[in-house]
Amino acid sequence: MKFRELGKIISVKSEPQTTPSLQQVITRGKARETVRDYLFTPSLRAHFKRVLECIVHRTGQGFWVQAEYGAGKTHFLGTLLDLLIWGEEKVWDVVGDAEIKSEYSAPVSKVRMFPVAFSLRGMGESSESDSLMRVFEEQIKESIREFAPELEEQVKVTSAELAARWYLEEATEDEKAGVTNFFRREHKCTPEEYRSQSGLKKFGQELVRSKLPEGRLRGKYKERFAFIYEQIATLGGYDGMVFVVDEFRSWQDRHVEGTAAYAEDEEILETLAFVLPSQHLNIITLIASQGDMPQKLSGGGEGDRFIPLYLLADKNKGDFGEIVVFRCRDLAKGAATDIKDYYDYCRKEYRFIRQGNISLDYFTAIFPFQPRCFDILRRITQSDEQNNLPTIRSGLRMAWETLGNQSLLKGHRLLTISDLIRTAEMQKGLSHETYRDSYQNLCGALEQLPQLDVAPEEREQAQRILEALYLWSISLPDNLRDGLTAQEVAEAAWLTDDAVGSTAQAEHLLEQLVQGGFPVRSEKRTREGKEVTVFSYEISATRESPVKYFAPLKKKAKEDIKRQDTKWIEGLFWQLADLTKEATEEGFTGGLFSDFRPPDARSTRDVQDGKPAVFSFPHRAGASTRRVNKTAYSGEVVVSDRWREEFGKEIENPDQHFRLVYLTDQPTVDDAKITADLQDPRIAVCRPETLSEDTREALADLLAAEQMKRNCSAPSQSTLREYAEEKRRAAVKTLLKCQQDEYRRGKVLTQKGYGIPSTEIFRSTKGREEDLAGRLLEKAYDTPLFSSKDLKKEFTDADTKKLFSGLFHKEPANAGKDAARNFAVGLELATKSHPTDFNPASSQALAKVREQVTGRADLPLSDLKAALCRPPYGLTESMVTLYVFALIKSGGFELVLNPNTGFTLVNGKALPGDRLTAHTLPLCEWNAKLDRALLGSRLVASVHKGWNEVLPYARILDADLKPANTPDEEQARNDSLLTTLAKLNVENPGVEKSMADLAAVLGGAVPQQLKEVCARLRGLAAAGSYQEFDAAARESWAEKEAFAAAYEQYDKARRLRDRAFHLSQIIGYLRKACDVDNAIEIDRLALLETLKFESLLNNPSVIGARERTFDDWKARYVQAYRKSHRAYYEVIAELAAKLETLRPKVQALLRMNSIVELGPPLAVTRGVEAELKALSNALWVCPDSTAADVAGKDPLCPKCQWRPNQKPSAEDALSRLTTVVSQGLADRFQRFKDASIAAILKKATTEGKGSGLQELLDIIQLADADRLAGVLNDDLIAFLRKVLYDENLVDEQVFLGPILQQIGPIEETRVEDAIATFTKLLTKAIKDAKAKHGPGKRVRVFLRSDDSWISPLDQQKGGGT
Amino acid sequence: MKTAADLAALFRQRTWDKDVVLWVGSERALIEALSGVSHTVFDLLDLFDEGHLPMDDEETRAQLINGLRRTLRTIETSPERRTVLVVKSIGLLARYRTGVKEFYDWFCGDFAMVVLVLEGPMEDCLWPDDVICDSDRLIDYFQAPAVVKQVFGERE
Repeated sequence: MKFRELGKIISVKSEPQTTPSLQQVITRGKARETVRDYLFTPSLRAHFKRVLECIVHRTGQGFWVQAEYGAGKTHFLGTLLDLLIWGEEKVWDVVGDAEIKSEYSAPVSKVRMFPVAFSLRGMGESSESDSLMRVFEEQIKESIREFAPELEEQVKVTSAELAARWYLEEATEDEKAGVTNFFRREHKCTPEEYRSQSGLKKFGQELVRSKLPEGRLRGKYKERFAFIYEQIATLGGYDGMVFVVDEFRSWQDRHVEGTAAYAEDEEILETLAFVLPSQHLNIITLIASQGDMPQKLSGGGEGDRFIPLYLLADKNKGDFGEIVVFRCRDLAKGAATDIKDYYDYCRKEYRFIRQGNISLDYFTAIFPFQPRCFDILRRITQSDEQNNLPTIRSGLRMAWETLGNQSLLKGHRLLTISDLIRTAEMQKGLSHETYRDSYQNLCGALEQLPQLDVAPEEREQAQRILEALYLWSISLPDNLRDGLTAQEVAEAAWLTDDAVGSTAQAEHLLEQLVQGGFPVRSEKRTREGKEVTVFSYEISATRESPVKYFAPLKKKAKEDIKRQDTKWIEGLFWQLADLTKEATEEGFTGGLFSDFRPPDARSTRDVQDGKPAVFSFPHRAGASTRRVNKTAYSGEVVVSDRWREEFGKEIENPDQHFRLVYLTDQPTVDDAKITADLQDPRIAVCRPETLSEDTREALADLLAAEQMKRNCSAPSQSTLREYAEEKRRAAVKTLLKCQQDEYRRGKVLTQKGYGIPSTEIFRSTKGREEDLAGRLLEKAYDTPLFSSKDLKKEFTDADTKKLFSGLFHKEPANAGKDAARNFAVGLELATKSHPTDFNPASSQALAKVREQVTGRADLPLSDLKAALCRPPYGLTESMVTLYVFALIKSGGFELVLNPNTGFTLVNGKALPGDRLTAHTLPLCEWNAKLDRALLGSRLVASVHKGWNEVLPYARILDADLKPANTPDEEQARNDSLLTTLAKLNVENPGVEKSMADLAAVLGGAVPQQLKEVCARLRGLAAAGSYQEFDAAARESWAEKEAFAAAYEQYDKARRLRDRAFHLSQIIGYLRKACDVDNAIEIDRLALLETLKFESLLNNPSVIGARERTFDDWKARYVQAYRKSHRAYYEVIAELAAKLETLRPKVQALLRMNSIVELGPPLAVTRGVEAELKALSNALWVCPDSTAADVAGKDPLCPKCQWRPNQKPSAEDALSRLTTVVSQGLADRFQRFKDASIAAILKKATTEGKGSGLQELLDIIQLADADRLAGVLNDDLIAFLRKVLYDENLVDEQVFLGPILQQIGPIEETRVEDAIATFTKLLTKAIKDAKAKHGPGKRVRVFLRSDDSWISPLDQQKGGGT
Repeated sequence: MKTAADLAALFRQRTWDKDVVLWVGSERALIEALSGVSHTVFDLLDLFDEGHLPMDDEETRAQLINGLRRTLRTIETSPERRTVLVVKSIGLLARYRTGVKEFYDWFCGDFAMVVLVLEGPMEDCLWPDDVICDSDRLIDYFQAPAVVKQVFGERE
């Protein structure tokens, strides 16, 4: 297949800017450019929608935008901000995504958000004021200056400003007296004097220093931000604020987890993203960071602290290629047709399209790059952070530089990874020390290629193979060795060979390379159950002996017991990232207590310097077990370096069912003392034994290895570092085993001496807390108030809420139904025969609850929990709440909720009297708001209580209708039925009309029976209750089956109606489509035959298949039509180009013909102007010639209605016109060359008359028609005509003397005679003059009375009379 | 600390990537490394008018930030006008806690980078007996996370 060259399909954009700064991209001047350059991929569109939804609905929320360096966080934030704040710059006009534009352009323009946006990068550290709050205050003031300068004086942000405001507006007389006293003492002046001397700001600062306004300065973050918000919103008329913080990672790096600064950061962000929005302050907070979100801020759901938005995450990896290519090139008009040719070819010839499930849309988006380019580039750029290697944004630059290679753009193939290797940007990355050696190895191999025994033209392919394999190898992680099959190599390097095919060509060249000693390795691998040969690039490295470095360091470490102990504790809390591959392969996921790591007070610098961890003990964390009663019980884990009495106190929190205490060292008190301190049977204490020699050996190895790594940091010491790393890996693995051994040798202590063997508990880390807590609780909770054996699955708190929905909601979700099936029987809230129907008759727990509430007018829910969430009952907190709901549903009791929590029913209405009743319970959603409303709630006694026959008929209309057991349910069913009937009433006329219309289009008729059914259903739909419905239905159809059959007929018509519009379009398209290809035409006629009204009405299920057949046919038709259409207009365009070259000649001829003095024009040239116009019309080129718009509803190009039988017919006419113009011009040239005319023109030239005349004469001399048009303008034509006209006029002089002599004296009687004589004599004189000059001349005479007569010409030359 | 040769290699790159770097050494040696590369030398002291010096630290800081921002926004850069900005008297940035944020916000990009010049060594100066010179103080300030990207030195 002949492809169009790349340069004709794409155009390269100007050099992209890849390092935007947030401050710059949100300026007015950059806003449109920023938005225009942004590509909304599906995942990015989803992120934008998530944020914009919160903005248009005015619900504050936090978002954590996370991505690696250079992945587009700043561009994301900048675009979002520009859309919010620069509406007046018409930024929405340049949004490239139709969906975002149509859905949010109008709503967002109605919301006015005040922006505070800044980057934390480059902020210098300052010990006394390294505070995020201070940064926020400064940036808010900065934003006010930038976006709302009119508010600068009014809005008070800092403590000093608030203090000054307090003094001026709020302070009492006594407080002012205190201030006066302070200023007199400190500054020897009054407050007013100080203020006027030093300004308001200094005055405020002094007030703060005085501590007099303390408590009035809104010192808490929440108060301060809320106050600022209120001021800006009220004074500035804003609907909310949007805080955007870029480069937060740099801040995170400075504030290590566990420090006070870290805690402050967390609290501020939580305040902005959660606390204030939950108090209805419309604050949107976007934090962009390369780092993870602090755990406290995570959550992920709506209403949680921060919702994470990951850019270029693994699941969105396709975005990378799309974004890169979008920034680098534009597609030429009509490119889609050519790209589809490439796509079809790749799909046919190669596997990557099918293997990668690559759609035409994605292929187009990354065209002209082979998709594997971006797989490899992405992997290489992913390791940038640790190695300072090419970043993700350098991928963009590589692609752009590749497209700048003109020879590639003149090619007819996709660009491959080996094309990228020659870019300056890639070279920059490969010259980094990480790749330098291996890249030099590649360069050496490439230099050897001339010696490879292959044809010269194959060497270039061999080079591409080596480059592709090399880049593939370095893109893999260090611990992964993999290669490419010959087929994959052929695709990655775009090998072709018409004779043997691409794969065979790849196999041949790879074999040659391997045999030729090139650094290519072939290995057998199993893929998808088959053995295949894979090829990879061999990257070698040198080694040297490092033992002499290690030994002294280990000796030193063995002597340092204190460091070993510190390392021991640190090791207990290792995270997965601290471990080595070998350790993870052994099944370790961290230190023995990795899940309970206390905060580490070290700074980043301390960590880098290898200083030991500084943990604060005791550290408490959550845990749970599901071992007992098939129920999830939560509890706490306490980690401590020593024993404390408080660990043994009784567990009072109903949400905590156990306490596990892990001691990191053998305690100083004995086991008896610890056992005596235990006040609750649900507590267990685990202590290790004294560390063994093996453990100390491993600790010394580890310390020595880490020290060696730090010491050997020079680039040339990579071998030593590798050795140290190997030792470290081994030590880590050993130490992890030692941790288990030490605790196995230790003891598990309990109040009642359960004798739990530590060897079993510390068998592995997996499920340890679950096991230990389970052993405690199975003894403590030996009399549960429910039937745990009937729980079908393990029961959790989350299941409680689902079960609530399943049992009490009218239409529970599937999750609710499943929960009811799984748990209702076990919790004794349903019977085994009807597991999803609420029936608590046998519930022990409910009986216990009744027992507790009996005789009490008012029972707090918290009391109930305290009574039942303890041994021996084993109820969880949420279970107790569920049983209280069950009690309410059963009648007789109500729950008085905590008012003012904002809890509403699902219909949005407030809960009447804040009382939860049997009636309102089904209208409640058990969500966070209800949880808040339950705090402080009280249980009180309540002061308040045959559709099934109609059901068989009703179910024909709606199969989901259910039986009703109570009056409430009956009413609900009635409402449901009326809703169904109302729907039927609305749709029925439409179905009837639609059938009539469609029958006319498809050439059929609506059956009479269907018309009758529609009429009867019309009557049925008018029923006002289920009783009326029943009467009407039975009147028309005595039997249910007859009704069902009639309704089925209607339903088919309805299904046909649903597709009627589309079917009409299909028929219209098919009928109007033309014959572009024989096979396509045959399929068109066959398809038309299958679209008959009667068959579709009888069997509407075939419509989908018909539509798919049409879609397939249409895709083929569109492609074929576009190509034929384009080919036709390429011919027309060629002819039009020729006509354009002829046009100036025609114009010249027409002008020359207008010089009548040259004689009449050639007869055949009289019509040239009309012929030119006719040809211009005939050679019109359709503006959509490159891609006719036939993919929509029109099967013919809407611009030109072109059909294949239309052939270019203007060629003959153009040829004829060319001939006639040539003849005409030749004739005119000949006239000019006529001797007399030539003489006249030459004379005029000699006299310097007429601009361009000399050039005209040259042209005439050479008969050069091409140059004629450039010279022959209107002025020259006018001049020529005048010269030729003037050269025919002759001046003569007639002297009056002789004439007057002949007339003689004139008397009164001779006047007439004298005049006659004068006339005769003058006529004769003129005749004489004409005779003298010949018949072709016109003569003009001048009468003169003396001999000094001078001709007018002589007069002009300076003569005179 | 990387070498002058490393810095020269960085200068030679066609594009840069938010590069604000610290040069510990003489200006003369830096200018040598910049050989053939378009650069502008900018002394932060030029932002102040000796006749109208600010009253206190806070005012000085504000003047430093505003003046720096104004200056940086006037320097045009483009693919055809790659520019290295050589900044002197950088002790002011640490003394008045401004950091290097303004350089990242308003100057650095694909075609513009900044070299902060820290001329030393200060420990060689003859300080009075009661003065202790903490020669690493400034380097530590600029080496803090996300302040400068790399540090280069005349002496390794």
